[in-house]
Amino acid sequence: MREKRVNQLKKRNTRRKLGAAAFVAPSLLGVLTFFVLPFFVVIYYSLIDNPISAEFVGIENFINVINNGAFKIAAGNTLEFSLLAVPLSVILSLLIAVMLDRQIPLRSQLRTAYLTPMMVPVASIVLIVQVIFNYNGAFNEILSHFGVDKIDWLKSEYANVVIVFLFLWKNLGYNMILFLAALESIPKDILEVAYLESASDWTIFWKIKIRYLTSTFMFVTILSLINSFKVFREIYLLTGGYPNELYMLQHFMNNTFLSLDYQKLSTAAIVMSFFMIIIIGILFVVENHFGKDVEE
Amino acid sequence: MNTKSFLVKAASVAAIILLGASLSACGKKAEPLKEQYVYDTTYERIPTDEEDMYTSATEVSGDYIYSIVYEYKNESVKYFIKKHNNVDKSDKITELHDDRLKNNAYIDKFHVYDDETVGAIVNIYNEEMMSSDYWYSIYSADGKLLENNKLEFETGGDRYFYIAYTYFAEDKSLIIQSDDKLYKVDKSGKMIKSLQVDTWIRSTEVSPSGKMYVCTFLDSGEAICPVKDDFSGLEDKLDISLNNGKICAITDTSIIVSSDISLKSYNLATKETETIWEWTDLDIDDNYIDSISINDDGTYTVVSEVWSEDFSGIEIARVEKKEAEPGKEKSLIVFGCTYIDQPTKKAIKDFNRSSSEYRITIKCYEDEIDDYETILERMGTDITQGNIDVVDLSHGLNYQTLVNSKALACLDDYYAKDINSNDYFTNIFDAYKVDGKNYCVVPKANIITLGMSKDVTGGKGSVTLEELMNIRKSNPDKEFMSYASKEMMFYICCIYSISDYVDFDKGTCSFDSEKFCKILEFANTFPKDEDIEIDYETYDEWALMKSGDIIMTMLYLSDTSSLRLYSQLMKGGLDITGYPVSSGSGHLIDANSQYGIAAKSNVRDGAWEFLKTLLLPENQNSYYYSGFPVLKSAFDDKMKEEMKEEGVSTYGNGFSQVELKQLTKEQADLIRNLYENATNVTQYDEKMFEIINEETAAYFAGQKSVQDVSKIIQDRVSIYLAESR
Repeated sequence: MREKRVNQLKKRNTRRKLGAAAFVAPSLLGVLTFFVLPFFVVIYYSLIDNPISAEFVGIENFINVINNGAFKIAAGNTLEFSLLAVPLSVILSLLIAVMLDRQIPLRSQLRTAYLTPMMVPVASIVLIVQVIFNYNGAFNEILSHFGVDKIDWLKSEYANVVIVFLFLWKNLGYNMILFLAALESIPKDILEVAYLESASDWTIFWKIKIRYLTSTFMFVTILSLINSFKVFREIYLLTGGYPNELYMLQHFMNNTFLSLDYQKLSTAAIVMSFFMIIIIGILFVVENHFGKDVEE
Repeated sequence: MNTKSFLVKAASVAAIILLGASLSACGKKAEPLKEQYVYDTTYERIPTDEEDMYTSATEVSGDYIYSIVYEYKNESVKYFIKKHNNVDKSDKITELHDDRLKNNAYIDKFHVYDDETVGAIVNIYNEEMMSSDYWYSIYSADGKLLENNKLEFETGGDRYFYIAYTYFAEDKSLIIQSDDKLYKVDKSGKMIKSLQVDTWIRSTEVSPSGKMYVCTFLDSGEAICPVKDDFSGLEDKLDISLNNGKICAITDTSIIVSSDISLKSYNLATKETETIWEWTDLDIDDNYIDSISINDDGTYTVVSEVWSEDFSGIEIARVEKKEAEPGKEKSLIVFGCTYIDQPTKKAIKDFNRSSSEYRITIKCYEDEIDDYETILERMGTDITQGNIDVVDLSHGLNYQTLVNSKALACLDDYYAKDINSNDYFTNIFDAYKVDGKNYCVVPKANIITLGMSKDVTGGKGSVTLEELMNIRKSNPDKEFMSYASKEMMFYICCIYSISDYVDFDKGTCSFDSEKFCKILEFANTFPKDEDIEIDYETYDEWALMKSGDIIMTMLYLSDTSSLRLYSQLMKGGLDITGYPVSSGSGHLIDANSQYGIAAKSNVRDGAWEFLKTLLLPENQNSYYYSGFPVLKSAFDDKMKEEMKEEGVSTYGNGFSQVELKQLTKEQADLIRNLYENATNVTQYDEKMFEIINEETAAYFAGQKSVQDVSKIIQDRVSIYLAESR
């Protein structure tokens, strides 16, 4: 009897598992085909000389890519942009969120205004930027009235300024909303206690709010980092495939794809992923250290 | 984690890796493609032009071939209808009794009706009006004129109006097609209706049931459109791609279309297209097809005109398409090209005819894809995936990129085995080597160089940039060169001496050098493109050369005619200086055609067998191809032929004429010297020049300084070159 019961249970379990597998299978197949398999194909491509002879070359491709002049320029520019734009994006969006968390006039209208840039298509943004920052654009025209020589905004060292401005304009709104939501989720009783204990606004902000925002900080930082790579679209539309000042890793990979150099492309992607893993790993460690007591 | 769970996970990862590796081109190579069909063809030739008799039109009807022939004797013409019985090979010739046909008249459109009467469109030249009048005439079976009606068209006084096609219905009404209009005409010659089409009509056909189709040009490209039954317009185009195509035959169920590459059948019911054959499979010249008909037994009858030294007349080919015998199929070689030109098509045809082991099939991307960039991308992908065996590198593909990405096979072994380097101008082969290895075949090449007036150069035979600039300074009023603009002069001085600024092997450049800045400043002394106003009614370039106002000209030497022409035009004679380069020859090699073999090809040996034929004397001596041969003996034969040219040829530019003298020995030696000593090739890297042109535009517009522009170009091009290392 007991044995029969056990067998019945086993059969029911097997049926349940098969049923679950059947439901999961289509999605699993899609994920395997479009994410997992290509991942391994990329690794494979990075270890061979070309898809035609497919000779194993070990880490030769990695050495070539790391020594490639264009890759170095791209990596340097990408790092520079990320180090500048990401912290600015996080800090400014936090400040705006803190400001909008208060009871100020036109609060909801301001929130909407900050979110509006997200709705504008990239091509429209690029068009406006070109009109303003082109060598013969509106901004130079205004400057010339003040006796300032024309600046080549998009092809000189000022290009970073333009693109950071564009990045912040586009992304501050979304990050602000995330911080705002996190601020509003801080337990009110803790804040009340702090007020009652005569804690200053600065102390409340630094000792309580920031600690509660640790996980949001990490999330916004990672999101901003990802968005900092997406700025390639705007740069590509503004300056083409080979800009002199704004040449990013995405340019390198896009161009190597167009020239059918899949080895270089795959290798560059892996190198970039490796550094991304390190950065995100560091962020996780930091978040874990500062946010642990909040979770507890 | 327990052992079982670990093993399951490890097995999954291993399976994924193996699957990924197999999908990414690991594993054994695919077998070569085999031909599926063969074409049994029988030919019959019927000479049409006997002594004093010439054929003006032909029609095939069942077992009979009807021709309109005319005899020109004693300044008078007689017309006949010739009926050739293809079964017993007998001919019956009947004179058309019509006094109008004796002079200034022509018949090239006719039809023999079921009742044996002959309907014809008679074209009579009206000297007073300087245009043609068209008459619809019907003759009896014994040649008597039965009816004669003048066709009146609304031509709007266009004296170039002509009839391109006529459909003779059995009720003796007509459908007439001109350039861009269709006319419905009744049997008395009266126009009932007309239909104006937006663009040019290439061809028209009517099905047995009376449905009309036109091959015309829409905004989206060539198309076949049915004509509405009420003749009010065109219906939506059929879904069939055309590449210089025309309708050859039409039944109630299908349309047979001939393009540059193939003969296709479009099924009107299923809307599917089937390729019947590629023209390179048959020994038929598809440029002169008269008609194609589908026989009841499924074979095809192709009637074409043949004009050659030993025969002129009609050729009737009966083609039977059969499945290839298993075990005896030829291996297929895929020839990939953006478009196919006639010389290459001929070479492929000749190879297919002569090879017992291989057959070339053409994959012409222009046939299926309209956008040029998409064509190049698709070709690039197909080359790396091994879907093309022979690659036509002549039209847009970046040869250097393909070699760097190892997409092309190295041909050194083939060259060593089959090519005797002493017989060829090996400098041409060497110019296209990459890292000292051959990756392509260049059967013929041209020379791009610069020619100047000897009065100015003193016959030095070369020119530096400084000398050019000094010549410009000391001749400020002269036009210098035809249509010389900033952009043009920059192009000449920079693009054709690009090796001075770019080391493609090392991947470095020096656009911030003093020389490059000087070129920009020199080019800036000329007017902008848009500021050049030329009155084409009065601008006589040749007269300006003779007077010494134009002192420089670009020379594209694919034959000797330019050299001979400008030698007579340039004041003081022509000095071929070459482009101003710092080192090497300023004369550039430009491949007239260039072919490679895909590294992933399974039929490399066969592909080489084909490419080798392009280097053999038969093709090297052929005048079918333009450019100078790379085979020394063929080159010398060509020069000898041009030196002994009888008489003179006359060239005109609309203002004056020049009698082109035959090639002199000095000129022949000069060309040979240029050809065998040229080492630089035209290296037009589109991406690089896009960057350069983009930046120089700002300098020429006066917006930026030469230093700023050269720095930006240097930065951008450096990145571009570094990327490809």
